[in-house]
Amino acid sequence: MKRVYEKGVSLIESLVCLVIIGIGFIGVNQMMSYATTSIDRSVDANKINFLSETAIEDIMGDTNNASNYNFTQQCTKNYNSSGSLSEKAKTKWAKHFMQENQLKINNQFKKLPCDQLDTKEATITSGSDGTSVKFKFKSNKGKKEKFIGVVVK
Amino acid sequence: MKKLKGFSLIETLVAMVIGAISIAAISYSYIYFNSSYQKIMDKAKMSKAGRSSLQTISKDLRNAGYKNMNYTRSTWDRWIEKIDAHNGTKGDKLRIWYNISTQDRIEISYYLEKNTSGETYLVREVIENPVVSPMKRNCERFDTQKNCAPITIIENATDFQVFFNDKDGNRLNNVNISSTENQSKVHTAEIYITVRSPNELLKNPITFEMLNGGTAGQFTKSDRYLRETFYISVYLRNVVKL
Repeated sequence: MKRVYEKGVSLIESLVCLVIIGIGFIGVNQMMSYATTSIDRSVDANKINFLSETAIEDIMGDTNNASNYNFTQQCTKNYNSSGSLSEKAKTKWAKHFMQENQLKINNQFKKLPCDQLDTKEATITSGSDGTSVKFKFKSNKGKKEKFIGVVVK
Repeated sequence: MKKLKGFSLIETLVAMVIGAISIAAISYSYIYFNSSYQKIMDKAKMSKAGRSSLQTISKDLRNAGYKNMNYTRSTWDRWIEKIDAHNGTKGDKLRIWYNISTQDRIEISYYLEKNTSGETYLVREVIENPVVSPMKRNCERFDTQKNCAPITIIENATDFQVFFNDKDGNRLNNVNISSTENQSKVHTAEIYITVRSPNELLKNPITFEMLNGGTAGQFTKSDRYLRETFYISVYLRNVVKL
């Protein structure tokens, strides 16, 4: 009588198979976490748009003194709230860029994460063709830059 | 005789352990990604609701006080107003008036409303010809003013605060229709809206204190929802020309 050998899958083979499936699974996970962080980033970009629009709106309300609105901020604010409208406006921006005076969570101010390289800058240029404002907003440790430019006068 | 060979007990146990570990890993990562996805999507929803309503509000604020040069129909004594702590909510009520033709003007209000469970939501109400013969918009029938209800612009709004500043950047108080003088002093308006997440996203409750440009200790909530404040400042270009 002929002997029949029935061959199945060995333990090593099944383990190798499991490792390959595991690698595939890690890939899918990476993709999902990338997708969620990019949604988060787009929310942040939207926020930056709003903050710079708000700042430019203040300059539009005081076009005669537009040159006083040159502004640079890293994470801390270094403006005092007394004095002219432009100084008050810049103090206001500095606070809002860091979300100060809005929400307190468990008695702590909710603050935007900020790196020293995340600068916010307003540059005013006046020429024969009018006065324009350029707002530069850096985020993600200075890696991402966002510009908004408006002719105010 | 044919010899049939199956798995040994050891092999089966090893296979079961490996299977169990992989199922645990898959289910853990599913739960983790599902919750982070839910969190991000809720944050995106909050951001969308906050930003789009701020855009609508800023459009109305830019129109505030717009007076058509041929408008002669009735008195022109109201264009912007703020009422504190409207209707038992901690939020403000913002009212804006402007011309939509040489004959007509329109009144737009933003305020918080409470639902049956005490949660607040932000609404926008539009009234045509507000002084002579007020007619609300957004009704089942406009001519008979049947079942009029303002439009909800943010489902889960915790707080809505309005501040006015004069041309020197100082806060203005008592800006209402009883004082045309105070109304004409308004130079910029600041709006703060605190939006709550649609779902409970936190494991443990945390305390939120809504400052929103005001002083501390006024308004707190302690629960498992996330909250974020959205802010805009608008230059009232039509009011300053009045």
